Amino acid sequence: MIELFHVSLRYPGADRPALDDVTLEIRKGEFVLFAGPSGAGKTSLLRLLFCAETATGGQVLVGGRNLARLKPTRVPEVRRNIGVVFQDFKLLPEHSVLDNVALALEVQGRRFEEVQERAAGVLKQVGLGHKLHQPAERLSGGEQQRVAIARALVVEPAILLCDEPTGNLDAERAQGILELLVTAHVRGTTVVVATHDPALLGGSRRVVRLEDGRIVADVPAFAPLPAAILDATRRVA
Amino acid sequence: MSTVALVSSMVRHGGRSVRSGGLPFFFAMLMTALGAFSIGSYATLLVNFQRVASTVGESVALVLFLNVEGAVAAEELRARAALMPDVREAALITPEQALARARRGLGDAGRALEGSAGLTMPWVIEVTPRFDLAGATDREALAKRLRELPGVDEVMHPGGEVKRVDALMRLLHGAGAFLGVLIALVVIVVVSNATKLTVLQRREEIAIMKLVGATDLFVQTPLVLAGLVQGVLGAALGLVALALAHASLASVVKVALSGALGTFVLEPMPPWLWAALVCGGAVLGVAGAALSVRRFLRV
Repeated sequence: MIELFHVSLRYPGADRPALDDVTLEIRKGEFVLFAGPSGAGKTSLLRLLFCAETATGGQVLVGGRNLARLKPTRVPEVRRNIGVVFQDFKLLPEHSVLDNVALALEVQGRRFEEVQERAAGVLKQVGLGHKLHQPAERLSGGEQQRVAIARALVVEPAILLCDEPTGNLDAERAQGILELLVTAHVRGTTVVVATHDPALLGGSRRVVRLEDGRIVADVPAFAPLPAAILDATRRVA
Repeated sequence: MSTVALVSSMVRHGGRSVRSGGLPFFFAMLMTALGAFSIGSYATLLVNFQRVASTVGESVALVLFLNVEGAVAAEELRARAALMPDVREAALITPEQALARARRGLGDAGRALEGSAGLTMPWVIEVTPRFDLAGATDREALAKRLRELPGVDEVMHPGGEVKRVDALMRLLHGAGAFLGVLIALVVIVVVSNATKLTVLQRREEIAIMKLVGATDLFVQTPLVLAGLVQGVLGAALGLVALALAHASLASVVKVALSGALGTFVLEPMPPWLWAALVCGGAVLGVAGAALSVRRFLRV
């Protein structure tokens, strides 16, 4: 599903690469966590996967497509099959909750009635069925995060990418978000999460640890998480 | 994916762009309205001036003095002159009528002509040339062609007035074209800047749309549609103002000018020009928005 071969990424003017010789394979239906301290390259890795950045070296294959050679006109096509949950939510603040979620379907050319029905349905699933017409800016942080997840899930993506989905949330709300991600995973979506939240890392999921743009550990699912990784993550959190 | 659904989504977003356009949208619309009003006013002035000019031009006839004997030959020449393309009308004046006119024209001195036996006047043809909307007929050329007719002795034409009217018409046409281009450029710049402000205002929204998979076309079309709406509404607003101004000025102008120019009615622009100005507003709105979108929407 996702394959990276010796991928490097260097931002213009940066003295060191954001990603350095990263090789990684994520299979369909996996739930993978990218862990590591700030600046380790977690977000950069996610940005590569939804074409917000282009690798300066190596190859990035998503669903068999080489993103490094993708024409700019084909980028929207790739993004429509990937749900992305951003750390800062990236919602349209003055638009209603329903409009925010509907947008992801509208760009796909879905019928208006279908768009409204599906968007409302997903918002009910994330517990916001009673706030469909409220402007997004009037919601709490946790609610906004749920809207962002609803927008990512409404297109039924093959891959769900989440950047710090539980950052800035209290434990109870973080647990709610985690449940939504697990539900998507159970339905067959490949879920990739960049996080340093111990609550997420504590589960039995594959953890890829990054430091200084390099993968320093790749712990498969159902394997006990080495204490060193947990400790390092807790220190950062 | 349905194209119809996609287009209707773009139209909905275009409507949203119009509603959230705010002050830049309103300002651009106002500028378009001002442009349409200015061009429309100038065109109305031109239409009415052309009408006056054609009246003046057509009232100045060319006079042909003939050296033919008898009414049949004179009538034959009149018919040939009347068939010329630049001639609107050709009227035959008999020697008796010509003499009577000469007496009237001379006033008291005309009495000297009374009883002057043996004084004969020639047959005369008065030619009224056409005065088309594009400008005065080239009277010199017409006079030359008339002079070449066999039996025509002399052609008199008071070309000075016509040349002055013609020159003024050309000046007005030239100034009108310059004004039109100038206004069009100003409207394009203003609309383009208004769209740029809209794009800057909405850059976050545009970035989010792109992140969830919107194509460039999906992002750009609503902004161009908003430009179209702004152009059409602006032009329509300007033309409504023009119609109101025309309605209120028509009676004033009628009273002021009717003595000098007969019964003068301030005519409005022809209908096609009203439609053309609305279409022009639409084209300028789209052009301004497209220009801005192309230059400032690098997403």
